Amino acid sequence: MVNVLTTALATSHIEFYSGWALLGILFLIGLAFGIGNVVLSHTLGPARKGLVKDSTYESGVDPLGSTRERFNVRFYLVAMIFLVFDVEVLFIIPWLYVFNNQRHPWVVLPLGALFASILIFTLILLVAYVYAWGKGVFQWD
Amino acid sequence: MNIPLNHLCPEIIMIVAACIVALLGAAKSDSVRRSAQWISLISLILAFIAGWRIGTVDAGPAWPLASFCTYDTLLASGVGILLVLLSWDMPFALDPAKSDQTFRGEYFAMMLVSLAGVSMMAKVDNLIWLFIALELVSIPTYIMVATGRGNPAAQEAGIKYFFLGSLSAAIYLFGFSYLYGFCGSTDFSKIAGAFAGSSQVPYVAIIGLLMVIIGIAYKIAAVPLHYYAPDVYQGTATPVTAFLSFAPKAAGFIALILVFNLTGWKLSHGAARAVPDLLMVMAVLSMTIGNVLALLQRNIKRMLAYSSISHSGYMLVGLAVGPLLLSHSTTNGISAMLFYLGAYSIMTVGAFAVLVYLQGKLDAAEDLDDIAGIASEHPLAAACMAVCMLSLIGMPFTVGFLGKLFIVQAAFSSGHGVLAVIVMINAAIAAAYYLSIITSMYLRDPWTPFSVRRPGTIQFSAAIAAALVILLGLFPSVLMSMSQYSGSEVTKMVAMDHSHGAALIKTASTLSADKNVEMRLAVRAH
Amino acid sequence: MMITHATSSFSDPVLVRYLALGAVLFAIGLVGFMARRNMIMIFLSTEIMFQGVAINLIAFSRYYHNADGQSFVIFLLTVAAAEASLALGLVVMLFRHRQTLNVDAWSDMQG
Repeated sequence: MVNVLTTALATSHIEFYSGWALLGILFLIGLAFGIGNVVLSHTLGPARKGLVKDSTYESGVDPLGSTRERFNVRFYLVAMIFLVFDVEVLFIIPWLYVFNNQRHPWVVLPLGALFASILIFTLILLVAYVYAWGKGVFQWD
Repeated sequence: MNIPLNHLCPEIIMIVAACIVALLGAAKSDSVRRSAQWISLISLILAFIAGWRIGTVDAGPAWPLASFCTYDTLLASGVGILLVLLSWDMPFALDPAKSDQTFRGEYFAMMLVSLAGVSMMAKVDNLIWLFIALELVSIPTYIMVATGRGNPAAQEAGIKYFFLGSLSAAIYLFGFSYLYGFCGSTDFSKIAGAFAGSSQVPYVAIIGLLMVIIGIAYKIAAVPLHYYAPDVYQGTATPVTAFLSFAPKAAGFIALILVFNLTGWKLSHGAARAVPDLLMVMAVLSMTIGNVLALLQRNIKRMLAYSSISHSGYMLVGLAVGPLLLSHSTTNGISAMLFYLGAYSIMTVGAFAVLVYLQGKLDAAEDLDDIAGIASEHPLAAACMAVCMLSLIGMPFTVGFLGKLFIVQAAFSSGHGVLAVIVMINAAIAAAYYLSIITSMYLRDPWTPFSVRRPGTIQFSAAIAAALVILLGLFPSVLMSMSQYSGSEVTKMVAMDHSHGAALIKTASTLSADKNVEMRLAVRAH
Repeated sequence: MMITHATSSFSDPVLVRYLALGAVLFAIGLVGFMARRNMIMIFLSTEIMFQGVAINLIAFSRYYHNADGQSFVIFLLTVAAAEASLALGLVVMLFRHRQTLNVDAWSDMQG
């Protein structure tokens, strides 16, 4: 905190606040995304009333009763698909770091090859996605 | 990887084909899914040709393990062709009533991915890549075992194989982490530099090496982690068993060679003596336990599983006696082991191909009684089986004889006469159960009439394997020169090991692409 | 001379604590693998062993100031995730068949 204050005093006010403005913009985008989704689903989505619809939402599970219930097996399928796309982030974040720091001594590939590598990576993920789609994994019923 | 991208051409072909085949597997129409075998076959032939072409181009000093990698690629794609042919109608439908709903595309995609892993194994130059290649071989095989056929035995085999497989992965990974901790790098050249720089291998690195050996013993079905093999081989569908007897074994042995290559093979003195000692104990136990227990079996697949354990033992002898006596390259243990690996792959795949062919119903042709007297009805299949069995025994004029000969020669000439004698005694014990299969086929009356209507490719695959067994037994020069070149390439560092220490460190510094290692070693020394 | 380098990495007082943690995690996983009978527990035991390895790798990576260990861990986690999804699939398939996850229910083949 002290560091931030001393830098703020050392630099001009505009520069200091423009640095924080990015964070503010990110926050605003996040807020707009959240609210926008709620509003859009309210206005565009079909509105049905019923016993199930009016009950408390608890991740698709009956909110009352024993907690030691068995889950529907489809949750496991979704979990597996989730893992595929969860782990890809592990590779994309280091890639982003390398892509942004071309002068780092560890970076040995030229820019084009780096970009091609992530394209191939996404292509392979896409194969998994198309396969899962073709197998009907995303159909709940 | 430091090797040029075009040298990875065979693996790229296999992976691309695997993606296509997997996507076809999700197709609705069965005729589309039926193209999976053809695409797999064509891609493997292309990979073989590509591997051959890459191997004949002299890569020069930029690629020190060129023949070794070529041998591996040719082995993976060549035996892969036989495996695709023999699993032509795989997998059996989980429910016979819905025979169109098989996982054909998935099956062949998994197979191609696993073969690509085998082919990549020799090209790795980093511990991370070694780990990825080993898992690339293993993970598809878990799926193939569990879904190969829809009975409880296959599922039991699936869980046993999967859980023990991840245990073995954890064990060798722990070993990798200590190797990295010893050397400060996962790069092979730097690890080799660190080993060459230390006059005596420290205990932590030895613990790491021992854990790597034990973990990889699972892949090759050698003794401490062998007990899954009979159950898994018996439980899963026969084409998958054929695959299991080739892919993980080849990958495991190549991984072991690469790991010992890192140490510069100087493991014969001091505390590092524990490593070859462990290998020899594993070899003797694998051979003996495998052969003795195989004698007790009535189920052919179980019998061949124990036989697979014992053949791992023979190959471990080659690895244990190591790259000694380089002047005569046939007596180099590594060359002998690589020759045996190729020979064993061909003859065991041939034997399983016959079993697949005889499998009229879902579970038939597994017991010795099931193949009784088949020679009269299926003479070609019986002949192929007999040739493969004779080769597994090690009869002259077969490739199996030469394999055993080189192993024994290597053991004798390196001063391990006891090991050589144990190999020969085991070969004699093994003859008993292999011959019982032959006598059952030729001398007994048919037990049940077989109504075999199987794709012709299965018998074709068995015939190719049997022909190769005899041809390579009579004219072994192709396989011999390939394995000798590979063996001498891998053990090139040993020639330097025999010279004095100063040259050794100089070698290490030229080996490590990065001179910093040497500097850092020197800095830390003070 | 060169040996001092090799042994020093394992006698560094701070590093050794992490290595001990990694070894303990690995041992816990190994014992769990042997002792447990529920398949999911067995699978979690192997995951604990993987995490022990990951702690070793990260500790060495920090000690040597290079990224090798960290990149190894990224690949390790990926493979662990692949194995996790495979385990989930296997477990679901087996449970449908026998309505239990006890490994002793799956030991028909002996000999």
